[in-house]
Amino acid sequence: MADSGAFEILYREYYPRVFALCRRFLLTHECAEDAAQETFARAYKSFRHYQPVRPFWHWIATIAHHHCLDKLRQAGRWEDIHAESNPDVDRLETPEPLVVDVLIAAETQAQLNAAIDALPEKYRVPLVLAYLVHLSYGEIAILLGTNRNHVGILLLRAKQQLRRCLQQPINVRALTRGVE
Amino acid sequence: MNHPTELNLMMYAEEALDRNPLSQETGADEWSAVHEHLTTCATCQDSVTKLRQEAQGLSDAFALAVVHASIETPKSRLQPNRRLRDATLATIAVMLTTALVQWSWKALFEEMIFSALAWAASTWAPSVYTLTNRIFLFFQEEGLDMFNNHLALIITVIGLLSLLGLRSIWPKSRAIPTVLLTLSIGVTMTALPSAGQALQIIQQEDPVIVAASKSIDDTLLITTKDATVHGDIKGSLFIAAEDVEVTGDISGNLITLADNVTISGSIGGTIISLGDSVVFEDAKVAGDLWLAGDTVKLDSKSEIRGNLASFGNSIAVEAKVGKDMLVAAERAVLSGEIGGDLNIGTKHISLLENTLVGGNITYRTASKDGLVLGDNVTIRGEIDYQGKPRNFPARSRFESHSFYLWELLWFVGAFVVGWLVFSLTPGLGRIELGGGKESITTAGLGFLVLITVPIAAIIIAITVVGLPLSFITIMAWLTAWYLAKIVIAHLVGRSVLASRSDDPGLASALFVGLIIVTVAINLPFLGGVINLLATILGLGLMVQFWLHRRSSNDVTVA
Repeated sequence: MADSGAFEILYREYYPRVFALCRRFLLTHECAEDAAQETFARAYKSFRHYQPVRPFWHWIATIAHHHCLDKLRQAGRWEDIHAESNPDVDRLETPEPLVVDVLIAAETQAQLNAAIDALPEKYRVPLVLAYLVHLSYGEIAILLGTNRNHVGILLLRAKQQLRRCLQQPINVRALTRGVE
Repeated sequence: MNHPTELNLMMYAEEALDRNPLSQETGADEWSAVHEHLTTCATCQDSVTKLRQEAQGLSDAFALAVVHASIETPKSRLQPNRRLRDATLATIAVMLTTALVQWSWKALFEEMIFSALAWAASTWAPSVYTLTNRIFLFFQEEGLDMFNNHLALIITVIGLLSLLGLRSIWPKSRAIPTVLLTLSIGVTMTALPSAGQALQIIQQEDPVIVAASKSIDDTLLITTKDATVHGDIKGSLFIAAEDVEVTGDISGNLITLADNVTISGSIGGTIISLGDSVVFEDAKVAGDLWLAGDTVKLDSKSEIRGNLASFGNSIAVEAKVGKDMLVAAERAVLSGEIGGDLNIGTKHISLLENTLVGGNITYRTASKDGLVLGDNVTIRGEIDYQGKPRNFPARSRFESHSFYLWELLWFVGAFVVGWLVFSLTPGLGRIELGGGKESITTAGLGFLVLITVPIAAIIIAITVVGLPLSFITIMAWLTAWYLAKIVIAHLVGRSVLASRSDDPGLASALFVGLIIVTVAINLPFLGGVINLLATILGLGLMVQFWLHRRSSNDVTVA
């Protein structure tokens, strides 16, 4: 068990990030809060396993996403990701244009969050693991019980859905501007 | 031109294509093929750049979402849950623990003390031999058998309790406490037979005579009607008999419970002697002398290097006493040499001729003339008459100034010690008392330490290593006992000040906590219970802290 005083400081510092991570996985505020608390409770109990050479965020994020995946599986929300086994990826002739600047602009933040939340679990989970937790393809593959290529396919599908979801209103807005 | 798939470009952009040629999963060929293609295809180069920007954009977006989200950090559930259920459980646990402690304390100590007092009072009665002999007979014939028969059960119960406590708090491998417990039980089992071997017991109705030619290397316990020890004992000697005569040399302590005691040997340690008649004839005693009897007499050839404390009806001391003498008797006649002070309370005191007192004389008699000095009496110090022996009327301690003085001294001492301890070990100042189950564990552990450590110290003293380790154990136990209330006081202080500040200073938390604890433990009726409760909880917390710290050190080393 950890020194409660010191751990309280870590809790205050990392709770928002852990909550945000859990929120990405579980979608609802209540579930995310419960999961975040459970994550810290588990971390508190097993703090002796933490190696200070490793960033604390990596360690607690690992506990958090393991717990969230368990929750998804328990809730029956974890789809069969292997159903995506047929890549069916076309040769890239002309890649879709990405609007990265728009993606991270403040006014589309809520839109992006909504788009990510709208993704199926099988796409959202690897996306969160890759770009919020910053796990490698190999690490995600081990975690999800698949291979690296398959992780790539899931991420690609996730991005494609996000692009479609994000570009639609943007184009509408652009058209509106053009009319004006 | 055949472009790579978007998947390949994305994995290439995010460095997910393995460059290791041995990899069977994606292979170096794919990476090489993509890499080769990019050197000639500007479109794909642009795509890779955009895919990298997209990945970075997603990471930034996720990070930005965390920053922009107004997430209020709720109160941590790591801290003790203060819900009603837990509070009720904790209260019940504390009540049960307190009741158990009180009962054990009474059973173990108070009854024992009262029994001992009753027994000591009975030593003046003619039946002292019968009483003591029966007690020893009971313990030898019944008690030892009973103890031996239940030894395994006793050890098992203690072991299981210890294991339970350790398992609940030991954060590391479950195997370690089990191994420790097994080892400790093994050591105890191994040590117990040696206690038997180190102690010789002679119990018989017929007279026991240890001949002058005989030498016993162990501690000897004798219960009989008449005991005569002419031989040498290389240990301590315990005798319960009607008539006791010791003329041999005893290297250890001598304890006698008898009607008539005559000692004329050489004693290396302390003598405690209770009986109707206690007589020393040409005895040499290296340690102190504690005597209680109707008649106590030390002849002129006897020599005591330590102190002499004697209580009885008639006391006559002609011997040489190296240090101080304390006497309480109806009549005292002194004619020897006293190296230190003489403190005496009696009806009549006579210092016969040539008596030498190296220090002061403090005496209480019916009148100042109660001290009679013979010819050539030498007193190097002062003579102080302190009036009649009187009984102090019982009164409330709160009416005494000394009570407040001592409490103030305790408070200041506890504050200084607490400040030093918490400054040197900051972790101890952050420990928390948990809710229901954790508080039970803490209280149980504290109770275990409170009871078992002194018992262990006694076992250590008479078995394996001996007195030094036992002394160290007792000292550590007493220190922990003293610190326990300070730890609780600091905890209370922090809790009280928590509503005002997240991080109350050490001094203020300690000050406030010590005031509360000092008042609480001195409350009429409840003070004793609170004192005991604070002690066992403080002990439990310190043991938990120590074990966690050891465990943390192990992990760090590993």
